[in-house]
Amino acid sequence: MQRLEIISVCGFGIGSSLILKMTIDDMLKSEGIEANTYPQDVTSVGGIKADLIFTSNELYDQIVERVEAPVIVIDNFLSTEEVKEKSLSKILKLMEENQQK
Amino acid sequence: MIKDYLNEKTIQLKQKANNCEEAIRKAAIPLIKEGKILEGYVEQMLSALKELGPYMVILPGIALAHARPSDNVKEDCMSMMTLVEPVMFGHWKNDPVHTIFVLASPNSNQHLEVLKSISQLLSKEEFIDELNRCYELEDITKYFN
Repeated sequence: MQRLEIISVCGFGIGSSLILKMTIDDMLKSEGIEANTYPQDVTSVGGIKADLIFTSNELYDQIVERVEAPVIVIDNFLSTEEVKEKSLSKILKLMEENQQK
Repeated sequence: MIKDYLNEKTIQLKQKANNCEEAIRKAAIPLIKEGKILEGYVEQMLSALKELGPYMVILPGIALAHARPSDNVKEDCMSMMTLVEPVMFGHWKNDPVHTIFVLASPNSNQHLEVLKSISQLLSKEEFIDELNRCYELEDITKYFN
């Protein structure tokens, strides 16, 4: 089965998006899910292939109009609970769809 | 190691700032003094805040100020400043901010380890409480050993 491609986005891809990526990784690990996760900067997100995108409330509008993948907004980048609550069912659904392909 | 980045030279406790711009400027001073960043990096961070919004407030009370890797950054570095009175960044949920971290990197991957250690600390409520109340350097640096 192909792994999901999950991207976390901040302004420059070096600070907050890296922290968000780590939090997503922690959540995936505790759920026993294997996926590819990458940090990305907001300007290059349009050309990237992804199954799911995470970002902050402030960057949502800029991102959502340039990508096809669903975009999830996270307020606390250190909260595995928030990431889980907002994304786990979506991730499981995407994995199911991937399996059927 | 975090203490190579955050130590008595780069940590400022219980400072005063009237607004978020002043707070970022002040938090970056130790890195300018040490020659690790140039003034231009501070301007980069402030214009990022202006253009992209207060997304750098990554959890309640904590801002991680940073900008694009550039010639204004001489080496990987971080500084930290806590405030006597928190300031508003305009974040819809995580305001007001009581602690500012400044992060600078000449490229995008060398600081990964230190960022990982910091984010592990920031996910602990006990550490956040300590940031909020501490007046003594040792109370904070003990977490960085």
